[in-house]
Amino acid sequence: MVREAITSRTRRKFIKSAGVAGTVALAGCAGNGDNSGNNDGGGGDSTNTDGGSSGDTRSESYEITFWELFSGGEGPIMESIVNKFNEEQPLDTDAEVTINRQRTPWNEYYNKLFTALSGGEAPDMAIMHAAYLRAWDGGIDAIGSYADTASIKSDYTASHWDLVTVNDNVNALPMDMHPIGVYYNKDLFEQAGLDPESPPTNWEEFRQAGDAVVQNTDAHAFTQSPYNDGFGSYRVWSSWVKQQGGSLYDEEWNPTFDNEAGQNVAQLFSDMTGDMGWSKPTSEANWGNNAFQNGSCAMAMNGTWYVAALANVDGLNWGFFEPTVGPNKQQDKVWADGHSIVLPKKQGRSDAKSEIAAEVAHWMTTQNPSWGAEAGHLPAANSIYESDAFQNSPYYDKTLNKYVEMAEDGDYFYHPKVPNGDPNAQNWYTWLVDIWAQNSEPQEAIDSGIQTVSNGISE
Amino acid sequence: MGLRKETIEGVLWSIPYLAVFTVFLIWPALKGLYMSLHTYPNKFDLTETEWVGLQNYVELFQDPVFYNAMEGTLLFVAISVPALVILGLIMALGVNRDVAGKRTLRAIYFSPYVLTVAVVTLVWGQVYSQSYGLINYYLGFFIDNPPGWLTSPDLVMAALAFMTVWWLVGFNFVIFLAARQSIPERLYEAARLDGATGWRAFKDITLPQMRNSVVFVVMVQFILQFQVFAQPYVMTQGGPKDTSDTLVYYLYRSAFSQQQFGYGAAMGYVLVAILIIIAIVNFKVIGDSND
Repeated sequence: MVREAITSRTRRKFIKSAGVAGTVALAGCAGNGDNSGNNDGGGGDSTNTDGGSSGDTRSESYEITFWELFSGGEGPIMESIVNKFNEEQPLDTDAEVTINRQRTPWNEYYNKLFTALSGGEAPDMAIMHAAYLRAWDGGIDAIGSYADTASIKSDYTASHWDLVTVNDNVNALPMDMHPIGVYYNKDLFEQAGLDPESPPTNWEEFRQAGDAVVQNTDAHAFTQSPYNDGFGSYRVWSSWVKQQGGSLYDEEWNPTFDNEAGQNVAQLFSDMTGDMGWSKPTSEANWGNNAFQNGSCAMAMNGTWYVAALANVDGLNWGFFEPTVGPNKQQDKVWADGHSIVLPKKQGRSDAKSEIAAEVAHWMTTQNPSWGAEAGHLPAANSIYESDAFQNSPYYDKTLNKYVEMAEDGDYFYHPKVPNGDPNAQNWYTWLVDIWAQNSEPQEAIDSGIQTVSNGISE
Repeated sequence: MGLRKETIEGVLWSIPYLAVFTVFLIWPALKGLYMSLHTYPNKFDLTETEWVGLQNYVELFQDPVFYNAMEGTLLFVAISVPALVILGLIMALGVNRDVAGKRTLRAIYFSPYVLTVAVVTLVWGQVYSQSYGLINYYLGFFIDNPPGWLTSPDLVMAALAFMTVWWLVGFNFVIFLAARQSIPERLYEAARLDGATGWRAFKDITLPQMRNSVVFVVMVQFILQFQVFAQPYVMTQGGPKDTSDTLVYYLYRSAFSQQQFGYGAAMGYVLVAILIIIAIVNFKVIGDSND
């Protein structure tokens, strides 16, 4: 397939260099590949969206439809990247390539993408969390079919490349990685008699810090997730389970988290809102986010993206530390997932257009330091790590350098790429919220969680 | 031959409606039935189907999540439908009297009904909030730890139903008001001459005269409230402890999150069967003696 990609591009270049007016139609064929059914012949139609010939100075034009799910601080950055592409036309091709971006809110995104895919109306290019790359295997064209993955592999860090690889197939190009960490309120640390510049590095210090906040201030000590959506709780819970050496799934993708480590951490969640008094026992969705942002909660665990939300809060004096502070720790393990760019399967999309889409995905993931520098994510491209834009990011010293450090130490484990079902489904993890809100006993909740997740995967 | 012409004209006039009815109702309903008897082995290609007969239905009736969702739905219906009907009736009879500002009251009663469910759920999400909501703000003056309306397993369905009644009661109110106003005053005058007023007049004149409207409203509310979806979807995601899960929300999750279209369609058909049974019972119980 790689050879085909090169051949097709070479053919287009040859046709253009010949400069013969009569080859316009041929160029149309080359550009349109196997999709001649959608092309009305091309002549003079400069807005042809499927790679037909325009007969203009640029002999081809492609409109790549692109779906994404970014909101908050990330949304405008993705928008600016797309605008930059459309203005600069950075690809090494004479064809005019434009990206037509469509944003759908994250909680509706995958349902909508799935419906579009199964209805044959998929976009040419889409953002996808790496955790979906196995379950969605049948719905995406492996990027290796349209890009020379052997030669671009070295553009990305090994851990990101690993993130998008399923059963030795490279299913997508990695955009970023977004692990979690602990965000803390320096002013509350000071009030509690703690050194705000020396945040906890292990369980004993973390426990002491939380207790000090509860004893010496009016604030709450900790929220396991700002959003109480279950999934947020899972990031923390699974990290601490893995830190204790517990497993989450076996090789057949049966959930195994009803083990000693899983039970310990579930009990800890229950204690945090119970005996330890660290937090309010609530399932209220935004309680933690409000409490952390208005300065009445000292510590919140969340992902890389949280910097964009915190940047908009005036007067919040916050710091960050690594979340490797779970009890009974045997190893440093931190939950991570990442955004990748996939080419959803779409009948009738020409090979040429798929190749262009793969090139666009490569450009987006390797040429845009702003994605890491401004959105706070760990960028996938090696070159960006060394770029001035990334190193001079306002978040570099606050969060990014610690995320990089954890990556270099190999601390990350990935959100399970389950073979079926929705690994980000909220109802897979609501049992954790029920523990937190003291609605369920830990063991009862774990049993219910095992049941839900098993059903979700087997369906 | 005149009749024949009339018939042809009638059929012609019906065609636009029947066409829309067929395309948007009959065809999807048949398609749904077909789906409920199949599974889709390749969820990314819905042209691949596999005949499974009644297997989806059999699985459904063995599924604890389905029963939990059914329980939630029944609880929601049990709270909301009587409240919607009785409150609508009381409000209509109340402002039918010569009370001061009755026109303003009518406008106020009806106004929530014009809001979309998205607005209603957003506003009430704020009102119900445990830590900064309006209700708990005022309750905080009297009790130390006001409850979490959407976060307590015991309260959540009542809270969703209360909000729904506030939102939808205006519709019933308008129907009942129109029905009450169409009752001839002479009936009440005659009753007064015979010495019947108050409760007696309500029981023997108002209610029987309004029977058609009551049957209509009860029926519509059963059908609507059985399909409750957006409230748990937006406000609680079925929690806490799955106590606010409902049939249509589970149907949505099965079909669009778990991509089990056959299973979701089967659930849709079970829902239709329940609604048909309720409609028949409704007619038997309160509608049958209407002559």
